[in-house]
Amino acid sequence: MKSLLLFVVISSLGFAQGRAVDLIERLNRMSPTERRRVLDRMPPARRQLLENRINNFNKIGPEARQKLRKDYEYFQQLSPEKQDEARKTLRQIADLPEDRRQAVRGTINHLRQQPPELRQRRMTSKGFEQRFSEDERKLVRDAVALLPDPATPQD
Amino acid sequence: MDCILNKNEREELLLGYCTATLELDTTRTFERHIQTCEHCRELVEMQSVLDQTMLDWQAPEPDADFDRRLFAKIRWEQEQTQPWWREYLTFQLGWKPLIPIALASIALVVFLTRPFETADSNRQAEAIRAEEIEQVERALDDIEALQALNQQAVVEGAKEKL
Amino acid sequence: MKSVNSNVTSVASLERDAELMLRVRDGDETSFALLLEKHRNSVIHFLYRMVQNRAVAEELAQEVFLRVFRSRESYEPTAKFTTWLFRITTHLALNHVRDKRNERLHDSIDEKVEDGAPRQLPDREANIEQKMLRQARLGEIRQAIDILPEKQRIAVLMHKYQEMEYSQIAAILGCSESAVKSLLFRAYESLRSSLKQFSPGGSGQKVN
Repeated sequence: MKSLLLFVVISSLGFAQGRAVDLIERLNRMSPTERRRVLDRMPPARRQLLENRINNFNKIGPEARQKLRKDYEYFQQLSPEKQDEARKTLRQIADLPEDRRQAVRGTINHLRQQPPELRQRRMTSKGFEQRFSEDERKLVRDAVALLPDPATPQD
Repeated sequence: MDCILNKNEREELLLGYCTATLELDTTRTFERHIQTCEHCRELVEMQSVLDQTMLDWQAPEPDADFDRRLFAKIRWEQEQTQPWWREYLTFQLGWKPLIPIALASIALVVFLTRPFETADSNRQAEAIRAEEIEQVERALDDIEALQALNQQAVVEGAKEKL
Repeated sequence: MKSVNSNVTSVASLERDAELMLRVRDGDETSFALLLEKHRNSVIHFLYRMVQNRAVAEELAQEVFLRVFRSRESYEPTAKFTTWLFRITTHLALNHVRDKRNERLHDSIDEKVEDGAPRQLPDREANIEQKMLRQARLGEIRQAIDILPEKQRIAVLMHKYQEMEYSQIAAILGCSESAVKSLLFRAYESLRSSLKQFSPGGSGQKVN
């Protein structure tokens, strides 16, 4: 069943690249006995965590999964340095207090869907300055620059 | 001193200025104007307060069940209109209620096509090393971080717009 | 003059929604789910601010998307997708407002939202007095928006919260751009007036 869950996750996410994806598919090709043997070499808590994380993805709705797929495909195309920058920015956002985190994420998602010129205007507006601290504004700008919405034209 | 702009001009410039949608030249011109026109300067201040207040009005996030209820209604409507034989033949990918059926189908395919346990499979199993599992975990880290960014605000908060 | 690029990218971006809707027309329900995910919240938020009742807003939003789905086979991308979407939304909102004009229940800012989560204002200032002032202003604005004539209310909500341009609002309301500007100017003027009492020298004199 676990292999099926992994299979469905990968199939539905449509990953076409990335070594991690290949590894996951290799796990799928194994028999349950072999897979259990491989994963059992992991500490039990860690194995359980991995399985839980994969199970969580099966709960994502199709529309969210589709969006996540596009975002991840875009992310994978970034250079390693840019990927690290993006990870750092996302981590810093996750570390914000809850209300500020939601505000920042909400604004990032809104801006990501705007054409670049409109986005730029919004980020230089008084409203933006009033709404967020300098650090938060930097996080928004960095996130939007590193992770624009792949569905929105970026030229 | 009376403002040189007529009412409509003033309102249009005011709104454009406060929403940062004016062209740069026009913005600069208007900024120069409000330095000398008290009337417009007051309006800009009042509009800014209004904008801020309106931004404070946060709409609550939709119920987590919204999509499910909608799809249930759509499904119900479709069932009222679809001939019985189409129901058996229609395979609607991406609809949550049918994921178990999809999984069962995939299970059948995987079961029928899986390789028997062979020496090759054993070698494959041995070849997946701890560092490779770590790669999988790192990929999941990135996916989860992106998912958190995409996720709408939880019910206690609300999405803020500029 | 606006840059050509901005217009081109906007058109291209909007066409994606139309493209998705055409796929829905062709039977692709995943595309419908994508459109729902993209536009659900903005529709609900707009309806919420129109009717100021969360449960009603969600029911109306359900009806909006049901109608979108029902209309799929006859869908033609003659306008932007969001224009079409918000025409449906506005139509339903107006019907509701007119039907329930005297029966509408208001969410008071002092009451808890149905789900139990207290309404929150951004909490960037520690100053209690400022928070109370902001809450008072917010209450005033909500009431002021609620009593705006319907078209002014629609125009201002679309302009402010959906950040739509005059042309799109005009297309949704089926009127000219100059009519939309007129609606907005009057609406904002009324709303500014409602906040006069909070301004430091508030003389009550109307500033036009």
